Amino acid sequence: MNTTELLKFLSRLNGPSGFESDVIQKIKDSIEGDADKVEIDRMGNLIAWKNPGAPSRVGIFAHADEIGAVVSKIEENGFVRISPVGGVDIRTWLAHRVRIFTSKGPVMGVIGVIAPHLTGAEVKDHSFDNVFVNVLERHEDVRVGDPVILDVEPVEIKGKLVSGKALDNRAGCATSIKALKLLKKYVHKSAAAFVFNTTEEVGGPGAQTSAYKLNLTHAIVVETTHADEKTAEVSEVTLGGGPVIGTGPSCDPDFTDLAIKTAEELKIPYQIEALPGRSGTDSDHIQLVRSGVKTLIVSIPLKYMHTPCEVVSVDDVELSARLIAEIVTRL
Amino acid sequence: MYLKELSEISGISGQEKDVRAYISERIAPLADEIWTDPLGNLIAVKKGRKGDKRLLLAAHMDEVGMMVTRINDDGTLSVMPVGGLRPEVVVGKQVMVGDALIGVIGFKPIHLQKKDTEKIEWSNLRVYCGFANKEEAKENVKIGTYVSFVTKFSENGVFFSGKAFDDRGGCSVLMDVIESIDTPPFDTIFSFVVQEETGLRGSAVVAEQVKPDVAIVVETTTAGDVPELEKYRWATHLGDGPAITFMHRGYVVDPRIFERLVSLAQKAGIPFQYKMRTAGGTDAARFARSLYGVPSGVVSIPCRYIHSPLSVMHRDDYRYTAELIKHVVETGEVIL
Repeated sequence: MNTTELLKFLSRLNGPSGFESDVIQKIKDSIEGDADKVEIDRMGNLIAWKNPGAPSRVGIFAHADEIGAVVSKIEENGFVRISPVGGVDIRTWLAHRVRIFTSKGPVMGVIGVIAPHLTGAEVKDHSFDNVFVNVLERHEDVRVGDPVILDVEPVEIKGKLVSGKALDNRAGCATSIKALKLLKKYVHKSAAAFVFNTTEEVGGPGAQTSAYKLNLTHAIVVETTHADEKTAEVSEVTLGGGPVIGTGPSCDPDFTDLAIKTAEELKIPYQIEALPGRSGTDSDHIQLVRSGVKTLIVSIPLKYMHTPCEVVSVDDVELSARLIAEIVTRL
Repeated sequence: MYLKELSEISGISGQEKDVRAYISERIAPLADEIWTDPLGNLIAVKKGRKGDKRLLLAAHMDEVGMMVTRINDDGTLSVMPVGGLRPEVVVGKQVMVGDALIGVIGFKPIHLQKKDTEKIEWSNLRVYCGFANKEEAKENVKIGTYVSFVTKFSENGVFFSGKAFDDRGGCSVLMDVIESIDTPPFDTIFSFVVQEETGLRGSAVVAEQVKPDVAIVVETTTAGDVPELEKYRWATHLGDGPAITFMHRGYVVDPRIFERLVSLAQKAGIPFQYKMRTAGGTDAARFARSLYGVPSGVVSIPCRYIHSPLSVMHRDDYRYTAELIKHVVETGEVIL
């Protein structure tokens, strides 16, 4: 699979926080033969080892979950209400299809918007309080608590970009998968554990518990970050501008310097993102595990985060994968 | 039924050519005469047994969509609606800019939104096609380029879902009817008109060309049977057959035609419902103003969420609408 196909493949997988098992299994299948040892731990995290047993231990974390929703109320005539899992702006879900994952398999639904002929000039602010899902089939199978995921087919834009749902953080997963495959060709003395972890979007225990279990000296968190936003709250990050290296209290300064030096040495274009407080990534938790872990954050620039049309650049993913593989060999 | 194929074709008001080509190719062999008029309406005549009266059927080919109004410094495109389209329904969608360019209408990430400042208005929305700057965008896109939805058709259970059902549903019904009838009692004109969504424009020139005695408009109309609307505001609902209109904006349906449509449905045992609200308009208002006045009726397929990229129709409502229209043509009883 080339990088574009890999991104589309991962974007199509469905796994809101807490319901990642299918995503985890599909990623496991796609790295078959690339790792020395593969396991799924009791929090549902997938761990793929390269060179296990070496004294220096680095974890490469990419969260595999995505934002989504759950059924929260059953209405009459085949309609249901939903509640968010993670940070969902429901206004970006209107007039989209969704899949509801019932115990008897997925069913199709529509987030309907009442036609303007019936609402007149009165414009309602859409929120989870008034949005409904029109279940199109087997609505008797739908139960409160069933996960709900957008049905969006990823597309290529201009041949070098991919747009779709869940690229936060399937773009990170794609980067990790590519880095793992690259490492097959490299010699490295540290043990590398590629972790595809659960529950990041709800601040859940996925990354933290696997970091504990792995007993790491270093951790690289592979994430996505806002691209092309013009606001003082976030650093100037350009889509297609290369991997984004985080700097701030949730990143180890020496490890971050190593990443920058590696990028410069290899002439990999890179961008720096200032993370003045919590990073908002799993690094916030991984850093504090056991007696402390030296963390590095490498992010893929991404536009329109948490919408059905997130956009990433294929080049950014490939460059980030190479950078991460090279960093691992330098530990 | 051609609803799947018709719904997936792009045909925003003013640019219906691909829809017209699709329909024309399929019905031309079945018509005694067929032509495209200067505005782009497709008109097909099926000769009747008696030549003295003429029945006009009409469905509109156009759909709502958007048009590029500005090319911005950052390479994004600003758009405005063509027809009655609210900005809320386009957020987060993939779109087709012109014939081949994919774009997305993104939105400010929830992490960076300020309370109450990120309003969904046309002026706040941008189409992103991957252009780095204005120059690159200008090389690829012109002001005035149409921007359309790309929703695929789907059938799940008893429901169809997709875009442009208003009024590709009516177009598909007319195609089904011309395919399934023998020689009708009266000359029957099947018209597929342009620009309904921008003010009933295409239909304005049809009557002049075919001099009908009666016109029946086959539409797709709004259904409000959802949890957020009180029942008295539904207008129509799904599952109980075609909606027969007694009045809408700009026209009180000729009571003789309304009564004959109702009694035809009743006698044939075809389920139907009355359209319970008078909001919205159809080409019937235009036909009634054409020539010396053409008495007109309206039969519609009820449909939820029209004028959005994703509407929902009940397959039985489609089927019963097609049956009723076929019956209208075969009996000729609506001719006054």
